[in-house]
Amino acid sequence: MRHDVWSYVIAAFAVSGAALSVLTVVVFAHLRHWAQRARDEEAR
Amino acid sequence: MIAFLANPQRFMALSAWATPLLGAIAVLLFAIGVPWALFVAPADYQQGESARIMFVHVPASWWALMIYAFMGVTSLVGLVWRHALADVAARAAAPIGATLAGLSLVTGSIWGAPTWGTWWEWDGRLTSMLVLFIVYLGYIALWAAIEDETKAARLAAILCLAGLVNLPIVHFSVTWWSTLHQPASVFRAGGPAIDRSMLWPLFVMALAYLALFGALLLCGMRAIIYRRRAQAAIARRARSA
Repeated sequence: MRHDVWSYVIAAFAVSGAALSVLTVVVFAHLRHWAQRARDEEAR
Repeated sequence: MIAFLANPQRFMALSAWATPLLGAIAVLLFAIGVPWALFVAPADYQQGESARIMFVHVPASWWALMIYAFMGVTSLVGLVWRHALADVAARAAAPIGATLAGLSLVTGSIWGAPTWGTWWEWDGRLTSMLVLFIVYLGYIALWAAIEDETKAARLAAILCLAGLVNLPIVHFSVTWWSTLHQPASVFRAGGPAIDRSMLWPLFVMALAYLALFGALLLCGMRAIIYRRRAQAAIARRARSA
């Protein structure tokens, strides 16, 4: 029973960690893409 | 401060060092908060170990609501005072708020399964939180659907302000209606109903989420400003060609 409850706890922490990590990667990738694009377009 | 940041160049200079600082604070707070919540904080006397889900569920719910309120304020500032970065801030905050609202629903559902014996119930709190998540998605979709950014900013701000009506519904749903969800136990008249041994790690986790929100908000705002610079350069070239 104890193990079952812990599996819910671990699942909640894992889902939260995964979602926040993916969000962070996407936001940083978006920033890098547009920073580079702005530099390229302004240099032309 | 708000007038100072109205200049995008000043904002870019400030956010260049504030973003990594907030990111580092978030990492540090998560490094303290997660082990504290999982292994140091005591199990709840009624719910047992499953109450530990509170440490990821509650901050996600708090900040999903507060980020929407923040978007409401910035939308109003953008509409009324035409602040140069207000609509940028609201737009950058939306995906973060949507993720946290989604996490609030998912972790709440995971908590509900062992505690209530059901993954979902169409009660006031859960349904109003789902509405908030859908409003976030609608706001993001509206920005993506309209090419003219000035028009998109105005319409998105109006949608955001209209959606504010849902915030008190989410907050008071547990007192207005009969619900499975427990009533407010931290921000309530008479002080928190949670013992300090659980309250402190909860605050550390809440601050970690806030610092992460700050870092991601600044990143998102910088990306939008860079995109506008790139689009302006393309438009300048097209005019001179």
